Amino acid sequence: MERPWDIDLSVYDDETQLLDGLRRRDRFACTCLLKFYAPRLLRLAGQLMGDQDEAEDVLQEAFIRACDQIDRFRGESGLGTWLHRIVVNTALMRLRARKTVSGEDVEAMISSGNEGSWQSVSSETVEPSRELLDKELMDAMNAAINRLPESLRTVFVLRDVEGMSTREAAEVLGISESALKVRLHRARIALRSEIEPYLQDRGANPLQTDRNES
Amino acid sequence: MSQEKMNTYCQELAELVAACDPDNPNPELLEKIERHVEQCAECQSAESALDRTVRAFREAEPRGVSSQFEQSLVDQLCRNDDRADQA
Repeated sequence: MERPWDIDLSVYDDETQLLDGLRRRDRFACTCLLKFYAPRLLRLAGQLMGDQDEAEDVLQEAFIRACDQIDRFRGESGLGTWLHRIVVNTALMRLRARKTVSGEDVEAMISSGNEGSWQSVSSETVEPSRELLDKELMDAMNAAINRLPESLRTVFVLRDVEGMSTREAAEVLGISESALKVRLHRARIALRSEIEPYLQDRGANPLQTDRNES
Repeated sequence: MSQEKMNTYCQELAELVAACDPDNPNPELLEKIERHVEQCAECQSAESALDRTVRAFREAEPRGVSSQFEQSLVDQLCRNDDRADQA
């Protein structure tokens, strides 16, 4: 018997065909949807939740909801965008159900950037390019995002990583635009101090160094 | 890199942001923060470096989903389909 995870993904040539399959309730259409979109959406859920196990729970709930509600998808946006929104909403619902981070916790997070952490490399600031973003920096960035308090993490992920507008992110989070801006500043200051040691370790111009070495 | 070449990461910005209530920000203070970030060379440099890092982070390929998780989710989706078929 064919196992669902062994299916041939080429059965659907494009998103339109996949969508048709989902609407017809084709046997493995949901599995195809999962295989196409799960990696990116799991990363998004992980960034929002700050925890991999919870991210998997979010993704499971989101995919089940998406497959159940596929008839409500009107095609005004891409399928990926629609799924993305379901994942964001599912994650935020779970976060709201948690005990919210107190203002004191946020203050502690900001002030924990002690004198050492507030340092930068000044005019020799490293400007990482895509090539430079190796596994180590990516891991450092992931860990730094996960360490942010929830109220800052969600703002940073939606606004900076996911590229939502200030207005859209504020609406999704149910906060004012000005509150979002302050939280974003706090998140960015905290992240800057977290990833800076990594950038400093690389020296002033790692790209140039790499070229010289090769 | 010597310690002498490093400056404290804009203490003024840190103080302004810490003073601003994130739930109910003072508009004047928020404007002051935004003006500061626009005009402070040090902040501009730091913001630019973070922007580039975030952009690269965003564009990096996500890691794959574990096969165990994928199978578990596929099973769940198939069970849901079966229930829908029976209904």
